[in-house]
Amino acid sequence: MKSKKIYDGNFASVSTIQNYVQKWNGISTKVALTYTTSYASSQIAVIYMTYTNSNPNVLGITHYYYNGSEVNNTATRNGAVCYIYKGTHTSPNTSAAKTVAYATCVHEVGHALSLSHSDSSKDVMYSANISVTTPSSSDKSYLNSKWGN
Amino acid sequence: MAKNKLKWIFLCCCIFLFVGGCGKPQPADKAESAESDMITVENIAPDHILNSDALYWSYTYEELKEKADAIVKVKVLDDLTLENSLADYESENGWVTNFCSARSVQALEFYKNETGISMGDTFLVQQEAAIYMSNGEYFMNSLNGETPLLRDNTYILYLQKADTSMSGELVIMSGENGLIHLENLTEDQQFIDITVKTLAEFECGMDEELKNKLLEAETISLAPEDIKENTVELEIGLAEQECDVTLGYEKTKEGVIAVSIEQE
Repeated sequence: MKSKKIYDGNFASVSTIQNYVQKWNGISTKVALTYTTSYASSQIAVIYMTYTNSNPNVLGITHYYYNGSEVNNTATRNGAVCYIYKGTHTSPNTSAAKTVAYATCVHEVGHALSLSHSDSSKDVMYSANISVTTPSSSDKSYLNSKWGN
Repeated sequence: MAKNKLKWIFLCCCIFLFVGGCGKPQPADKAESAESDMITVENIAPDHILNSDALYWSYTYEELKEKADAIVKVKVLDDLTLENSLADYESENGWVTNFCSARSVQALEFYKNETGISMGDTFLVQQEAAIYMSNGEYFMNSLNGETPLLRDNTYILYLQKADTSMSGELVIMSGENGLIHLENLTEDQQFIDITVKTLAEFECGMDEELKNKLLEAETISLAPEDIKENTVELEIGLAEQECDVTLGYEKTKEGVIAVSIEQE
């Protein structure tokens, strides 16, 4: 797959979120995320929920799909839907709250691109990342190992 | 005339009793029907057992203690089923956007309690694992592959009241961050520090010096091999019995303690 597209569900600022999603661009020639308003099942959808998850400690979830049917995170898939939730741990609309949302966004799109959790707090893919918003060199190498240079 | 009236009344009573009795399920029928409707993890095809990746807010031990509305040892009373699961769907395309289950537990011991629930009470807790239907098929899904609470097993749970709770119940905080499975203490190695500190503070009657050493450690990690030199025998209270645990510990550098756990 040469490119994947982004569908926006409910973002206050689409362009800002696009910028964060596209932090994964320019690392592998096979990953070029662009923005579209129409979603097909073989794409990545990034949806910002304007409400808090049922469990307020959940910041983001990625579901995986193969030809429209939901599959496991280890199965072959050609689509993913990333949900980014409004957290309650920081005051709303503060820069801290935005950083958490942006870090969650880059992290979940990383999952959509087949990356698992990392053990290093310097990585976007760190399992408890709430502040890293740019892929580290280790995140980039990981993406290259999955998608090629 | 009076005889005829009596006959009519008798006949009406018979008809009423007969009609009322017809089709009314007996208790056994009811139980059988409930049984056949019960969809559990065993009924789910292996390729329909999903694991959605999630990012949780992650708490330190001190934060968990402070933020929890209850820290409680519980016995799990039910299995994960379709009936105790909840799912939200997007109206446009039927995608599952959110899911959880409301599981029945019995409070065995409280270590913190701001809930009004008493010891021995049965209550519901929300876990991010559920069985749901999508495109006419059953799926089991859990965030980050978290194992659904196991019936008859014992857990220490860090629980939080949440206005957003889909089940309306207390939520288990941040998945495995706020859950300790006492029958399998090394099940979740990522949060081994929470497990060891919780046991030290609330559960085992450890001597004060070791207890303080563990509670004050900045990092507690699982040693690659069993530690034989410094060990302590602990007795963990489970729902039905007690279980012997050997905790090995060694300071690897300032603020860092490696532990090993052998559980019988």
